[in-house]
Amino acid sequence: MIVNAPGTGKTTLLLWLATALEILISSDDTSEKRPVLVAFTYNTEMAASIPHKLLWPDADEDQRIKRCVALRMLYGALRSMGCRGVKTWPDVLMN
Amino acid sequence: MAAAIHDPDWALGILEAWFGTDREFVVAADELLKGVTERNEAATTKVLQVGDGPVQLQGGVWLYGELDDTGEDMRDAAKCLVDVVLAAASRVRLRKPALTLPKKRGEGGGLNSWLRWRGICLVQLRVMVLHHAKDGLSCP
Repeated sequence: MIVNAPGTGKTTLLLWLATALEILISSDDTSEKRPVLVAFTYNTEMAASIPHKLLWPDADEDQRIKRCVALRMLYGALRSMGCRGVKTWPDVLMN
Repeated sequence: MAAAIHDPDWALGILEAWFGTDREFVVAADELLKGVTERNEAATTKVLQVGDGPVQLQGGVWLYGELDDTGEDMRDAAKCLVDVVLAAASRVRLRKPALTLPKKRGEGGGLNSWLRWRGICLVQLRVMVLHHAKDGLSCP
């Protein structure tokens, strides 16, 4: 059910397991700090496309590619890490 | 925020500054096929140009993250998007690759596979677990 049904928490499970697995497989047993979890996703919450040409009109395609990836990684990390005061994805794209 | 974004390496540097460089990174990639098929973003646009032309959506299987029933072009496009992510996280050391691209339904996915991969990958999500260990700042 987790695999095939929409809205059953696949992403939530992924993020939880990503953290748990990191702890399980880590060779650094002395570290107690949870890893920085960077969610790179095109999920519903981040459904709005990045208006890359509008945001970076002077950038070439390669630069826009990198910035699109960077923006999703950065925002996904902030949300995954439970940071407070993070704007919504649409708000981020507008500012 | 978006207008100030530089590149993935810069983004990781920002995260290191905020959270501390002594932490490891886990990059979890999910819903990549939506990026391939739905989003009109630069990265997506690029991967859609793989091969002879734009990749056509073949059915709705991708909605559930399945690659099994999609064509080779779609799988190639998804892999290329993964490459983009990997390149973006070039400073992240890949310890154990964990991307599942099962060729047949049920093959390579699911909890049994997760166990088989020693806890690395799971339930046919497009997952990558990457991380790196760095020296440096302490975490608040």
